[in-house]
Amino acid sequence: MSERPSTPAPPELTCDRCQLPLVLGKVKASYLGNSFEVELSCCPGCGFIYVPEELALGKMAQVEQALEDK
Amino acid sequence: MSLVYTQYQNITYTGKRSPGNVKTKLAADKDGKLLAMETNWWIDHGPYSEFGDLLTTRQAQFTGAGYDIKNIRGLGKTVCTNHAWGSAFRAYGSPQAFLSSETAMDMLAEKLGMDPLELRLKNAYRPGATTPTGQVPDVFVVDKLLEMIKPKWEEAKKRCKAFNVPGKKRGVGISIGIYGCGLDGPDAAEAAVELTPTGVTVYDAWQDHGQGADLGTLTFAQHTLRPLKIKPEQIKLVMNTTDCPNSGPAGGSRSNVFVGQAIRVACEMLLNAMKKPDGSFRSYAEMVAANIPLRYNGKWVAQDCTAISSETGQGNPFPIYMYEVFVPEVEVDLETGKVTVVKFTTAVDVGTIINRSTVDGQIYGGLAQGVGLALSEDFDDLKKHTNLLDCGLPYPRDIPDDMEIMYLETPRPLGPFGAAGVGEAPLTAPHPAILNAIYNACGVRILKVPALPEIVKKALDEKAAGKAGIVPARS
Amino acid sequence: MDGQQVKLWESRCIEEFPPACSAACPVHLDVRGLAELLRKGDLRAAHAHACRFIPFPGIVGHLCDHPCQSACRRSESGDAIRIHELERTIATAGFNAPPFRRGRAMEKKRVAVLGAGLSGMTAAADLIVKGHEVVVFEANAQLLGRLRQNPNLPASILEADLARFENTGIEFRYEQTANAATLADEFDAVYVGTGPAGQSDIDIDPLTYTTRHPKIFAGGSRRYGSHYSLITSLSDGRYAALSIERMLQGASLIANRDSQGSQASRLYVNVAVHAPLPAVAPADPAQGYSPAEAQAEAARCFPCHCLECVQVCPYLEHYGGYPKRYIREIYNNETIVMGARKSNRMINSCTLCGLCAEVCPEQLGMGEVCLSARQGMVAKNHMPVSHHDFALRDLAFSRSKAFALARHQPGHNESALLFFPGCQLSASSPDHVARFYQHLCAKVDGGVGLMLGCCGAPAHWAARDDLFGETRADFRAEWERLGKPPVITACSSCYRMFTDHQPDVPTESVWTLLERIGLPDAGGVPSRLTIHDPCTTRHESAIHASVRRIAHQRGATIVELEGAERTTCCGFGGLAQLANREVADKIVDRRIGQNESDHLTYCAMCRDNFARRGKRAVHILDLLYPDGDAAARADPGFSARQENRGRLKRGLLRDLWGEDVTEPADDIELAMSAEVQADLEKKLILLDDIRQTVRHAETSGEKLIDQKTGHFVAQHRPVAMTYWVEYSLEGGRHVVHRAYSHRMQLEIAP
Repeated sequence: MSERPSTPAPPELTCDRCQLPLVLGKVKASYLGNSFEVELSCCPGCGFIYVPEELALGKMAQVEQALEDK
Repeated sequence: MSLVYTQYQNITYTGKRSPGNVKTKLAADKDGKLLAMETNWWIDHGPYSEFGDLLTTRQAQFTGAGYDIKNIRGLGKTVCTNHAWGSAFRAYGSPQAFLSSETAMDMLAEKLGMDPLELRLKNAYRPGATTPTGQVPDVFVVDKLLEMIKPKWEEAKKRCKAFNVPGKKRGVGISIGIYGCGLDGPDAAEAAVELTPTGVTVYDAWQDHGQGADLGTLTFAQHTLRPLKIKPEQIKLVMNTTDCPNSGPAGGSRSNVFVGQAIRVACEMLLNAMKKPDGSFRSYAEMVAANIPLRYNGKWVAQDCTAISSETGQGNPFPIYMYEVFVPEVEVDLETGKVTVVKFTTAVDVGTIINRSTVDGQIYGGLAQGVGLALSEDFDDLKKHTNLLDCGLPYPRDIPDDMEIMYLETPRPLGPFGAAGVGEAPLTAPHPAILNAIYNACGVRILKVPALPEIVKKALDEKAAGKAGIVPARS
Repeated sequence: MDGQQVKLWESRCIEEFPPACSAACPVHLDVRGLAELLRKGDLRAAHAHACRFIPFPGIVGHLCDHPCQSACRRSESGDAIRIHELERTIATAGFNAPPFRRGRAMEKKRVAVLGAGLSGMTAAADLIVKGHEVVVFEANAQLLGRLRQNPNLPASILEADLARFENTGIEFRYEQTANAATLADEFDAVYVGTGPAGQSDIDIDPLTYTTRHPKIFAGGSRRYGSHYSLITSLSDGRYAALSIERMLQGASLIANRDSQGSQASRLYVNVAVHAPLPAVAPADPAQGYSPAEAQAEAARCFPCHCLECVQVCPYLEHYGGYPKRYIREIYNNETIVMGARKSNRMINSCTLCGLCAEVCPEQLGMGEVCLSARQGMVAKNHMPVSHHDFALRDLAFSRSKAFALARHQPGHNESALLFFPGCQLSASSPDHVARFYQHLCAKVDGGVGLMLGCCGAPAHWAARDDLFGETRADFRAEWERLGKPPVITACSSCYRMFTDHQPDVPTESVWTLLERIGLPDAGGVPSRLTIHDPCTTRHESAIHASVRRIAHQRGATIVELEGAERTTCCGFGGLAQLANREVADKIVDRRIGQNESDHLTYCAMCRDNFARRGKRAVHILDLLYPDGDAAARADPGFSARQENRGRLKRGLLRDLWGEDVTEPADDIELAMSAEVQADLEKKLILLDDIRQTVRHAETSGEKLIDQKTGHFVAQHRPVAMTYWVEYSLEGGRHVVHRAYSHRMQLEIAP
């Protein structure tokens, strides 16, 4: 969950509805009343935000736990 | 309600910086490339343990900080004693750490036959390096600061060497100091902004003990709200009342970063709410008419941060660091052992500067405290050290008028408009630089503070008698 | 948490009490520490360690009357450690004792010491270290005069010890007799240690060494006559010096002196687990132990520790400490003003099983501490939501219409008994529950009502008293509606919840009832089974006995482990398994590793956890309704647990109450490999979560497509979790390739 750009989604992953490739975009992440901006791959059409498993189970889980213990 | 202490109460009731004993052992190859560091330390936290653990972990965060050291091991202990109770004091924990590692760097430079600045430059953080806690530094500026101050260092060396007054010697010393902005881990702050008929009101709890919280609040709000073309006089501040959201404590050099970010977030939320589809902004009346909320709470959290593990000392405790290089010149009176700082040059990177006068003031004040820390301040005896004189606070005459600050402004990715904090940077490591300068002047190596005249004198006498002239950390 | 209660808990953990040897030593020499250094062969460190406690390591090493050795607990299993011989080895190893260093006193005071015997010299050493001015008056021409006449003490040893006093600043005045009262006028304090020949008319307080004169303190061999003890005489000097220091500082002379002097220790040591060992005999008794012999002798030291609870509990072992430390950490976790609460997960990893209290000599239970801490966390809104969220959602499911049910037996308007099978047995063996209910109906007159629902245990363990109250209120409303019949529980946790928290509800275990009404008809199959009693029945001896007899009737030969009262948890108790899978697995793994034979238990969660970790295990109902190799049955997993509960309710409504209940049709048919399924279990993602996510993607069209593989990636956030599923459509089925979840909420930044 670094505010520095995370690894972009693989190029073969596209939005099925909009038929558009994903692009890095600013996303507001929030948990337990804390929010912050991150860069994640999103669909420029509908705004679908993609979270890869490595991020969800790695850094994201770590931040969730740190905020729970704060 | 207010609680007002007399000077006696102020001195005896409040906590003091905890003494620490930090041993640093450095390993380098013959070219001066640091290979390893071993540390061993204890912190004398007096009779109460609150925050003693945190102070102890500070040594793991800052001993050897600034350099790329791939192998570090250390063991720190908090000890409970019947001495004065320890509490947080400016640059909390780092003066103990840097006194050890920055003196060790000087001793290593001498062993290697290297210039102390060059040894530091060789090992400074560069991409690929991590801090002692395994964190990637927010910016890589230690080498740039050293390069920046290098011409001044060379001049000072020449000047001191050429100094020729019988019974006196001059010397120049160097050290680097680093400190984090924030409380360890995912620290957060809140601020609020409200649109009013005449402008905006900003609410925060940025406590001010002289550092300029009002100016900071005003500046961040006005700068963020520039699209509204709002003037400073249209911004009303409501600070430190129960109406204000929780901005956290004014400590850990965090306010400028955390409260600044919270103000920015709140102001951006207001701007966003005021924005019309055509890009222009709604007036107060239009906002009221459209039933759009007028008050916005901004919160900013250092979500990337984790407190360091007490077992491994590893973690990403702070989102932003402050960096400073200290180059004092001292004069040692060989008869009395009295040391005077005659000039103080420093190179500082605290990110984008929000207010130059405020930052200058913080640096000057920090260096002045550094002179006291190095040469005269002592708080040990609860019965004797009960006024400013007996505590060894320096007089105005002890502080050099000749202070020169060089700024490098490297914007911080996580700072509000690129800013870091500043408060604690100048008191991280001015004292090892002064002790290194004493060594440079007269060859006695003082390993503890304060370097009182009688201590320097005794070491000078020993050296004259053919002994080492070293004042150990414990005697 | 209440601070006073915390102190009481801390005081009941005795691990920090000194071992018997140190307690018996009047100056509390750390004998255990010495033995540990010697065991490592580090004579030098052992010598340095001894010098910190004893001013005269050489003299004591030769002449000590060693009360430590008589106290040594090794003597209860072999010979006592020959501590004195070890001390002698240390004393003669040729290391120099470090000189005393004069300390810095805030206010220097002048102290006179009368008599340069062991007690006087000890007092002088302790006072100079404190920074005072010390003047020693000795009637003879030499220090330690009487010891010089002892044939067992080489002069070189005595001189080496005295070398510690050189250049300390102590002033020695030889061949000077002085009157204590006169000296008291000149000095701030006086210690009289003039030996057996000195004045004998002084009253000495045995605790403080004060005399009738406020500035005069006294001790030493004069006090002992024919019962002279060298180490006790030395300790007099030490404790008198302490009194003098306190008097000079204006501090209390009597406070905090409970541990002073030779005494017994409260430290519990389980000697029985150590095989007897004889003392090492030195090859040359006159020379004493060689370093190697000393090392071997020191290795016989247990060393003395309590740690009874830590040894039996993988949870307490996991965090590397013992209750006294944990209690302090847990209290700090609650009271910390700023910073991370680092012990949250530790607090939520306790199974609350009660084994620690069972083995503790002081009956201290960490479960009580952890539950109290959890209550504090919930009250202050500091309980990490992720630790118990899954369990509480599972509880909500059990309270929902999908499972909850309360009825009289079909054809009855009242109930003589009310059967409460519990959520986990229903989740694990729904068919057994249905059959068993019919058996009860057949055997019990007056109607057996049935209640499906939750006893509230997960809410109680999560310290959610609000939710626990609601769940109990659910129960009570239905129970009262059914005429308050006695409740028969099949699950030991339900039994515990009812008996502990609703004492007015008459509750009985189904296993004791079963013995009275008779078992279902079925043949016994001979088997050999290790019984595992659920931790929630720890003290229910009637239930223990019934289950054993039932198993016996079914042909089982029962193997006992440490007995029912020392049973362990399976890792699920206290929701530990959900807060800390690693610790819960350690707990279950240790249990199932205790022997090779199949386990028999009567808690569905225990059985399924054993199965999950690869142990063959049966539930007692498997013996009542034998059907193939029941011990090989896999853990159903969390998804099937919920589905089984729903199916049980629908089946009963259909089969017993004749209602027209149809099974819900699955619009989304899922398929996945065993690996993916196991991965979902670990991540606590239910098949229903997956179905919802896929359904959401298919109806809304919100999904990504991987152009290479054709897989879809979908996400859905029903309430507080976002679920991600990667799937593909194959022959009308949705093949799941992976799924994961997070709690953080994301939206496009404005």
